[in-house]
Amino acid sequence: MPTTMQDLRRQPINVVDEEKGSNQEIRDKKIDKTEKTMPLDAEVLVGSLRDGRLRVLSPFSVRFSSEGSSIIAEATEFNEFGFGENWSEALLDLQYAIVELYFSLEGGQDRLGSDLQNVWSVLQQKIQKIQK
Amino acid sequence: MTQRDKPQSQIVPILAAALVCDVACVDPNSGKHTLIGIFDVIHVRNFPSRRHISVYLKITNAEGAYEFDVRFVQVATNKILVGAKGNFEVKSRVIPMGLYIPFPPFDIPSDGRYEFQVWANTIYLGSTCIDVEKSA
Repeated sequence: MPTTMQDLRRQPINVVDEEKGSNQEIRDKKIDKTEKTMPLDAEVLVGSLRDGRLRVLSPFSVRFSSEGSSIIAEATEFNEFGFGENWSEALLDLQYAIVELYFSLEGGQDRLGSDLQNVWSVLQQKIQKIQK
Repeated sequence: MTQRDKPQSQIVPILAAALVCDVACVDPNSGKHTLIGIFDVIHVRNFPSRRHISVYLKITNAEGAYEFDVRFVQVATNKILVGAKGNFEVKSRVIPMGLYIPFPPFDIPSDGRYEFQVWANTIYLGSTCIDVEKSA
């Protein structure tokens, strides 16, 4: 085991024989330059919460709607909402809200009423806490 | 059985990284990517502005067959200006994968925020933003 800089210098250089990138082959690639507008009342499946502590195991459904100039994103399974000036802001707000909901329910599991128990059960089916 | 006939995977991949760049080179021997000109802001004098933009995605936790869809969206209007679709297959979750998508030149209509949205098997995985600013 080298202990000084001199010892380290005497160590043989670790030669890497081969490094490989994970270049994935894409099949049937198609570029579409036709302009389309995503409908504001769309319902989509979301597979991320933008939070390194939580992983989405099964995608959750998000319904978008508009009210005045605001866009509302609703995760019907969790009864949670996000708001914003556009689709992206509303979704981001919803993702933060779900993360907050997860940790607040996790912290108070023994005090949950039946509605929140149901929400917690769905959250556990769909979202996994990453153990560090 | 072709890729299209294969049942789509139920495993939700994780979008570990999404980078917008001018171009990427792929070493044909090693498969390594070298990204050139990574950016997140574009300064434009006149609109519409024709741009050649590429996206590099790092995806983990994927296993099975996926149909991906990368959309370049004007955030304020929810307009998809250009999209790239394709299929890929991953043998195991523990194998991370890099996807490089060079888009042909397309028009950016005005200043504001734009994002590349990444979808796999119709599931939204995440996005990366670029801001387009009007320069004097």
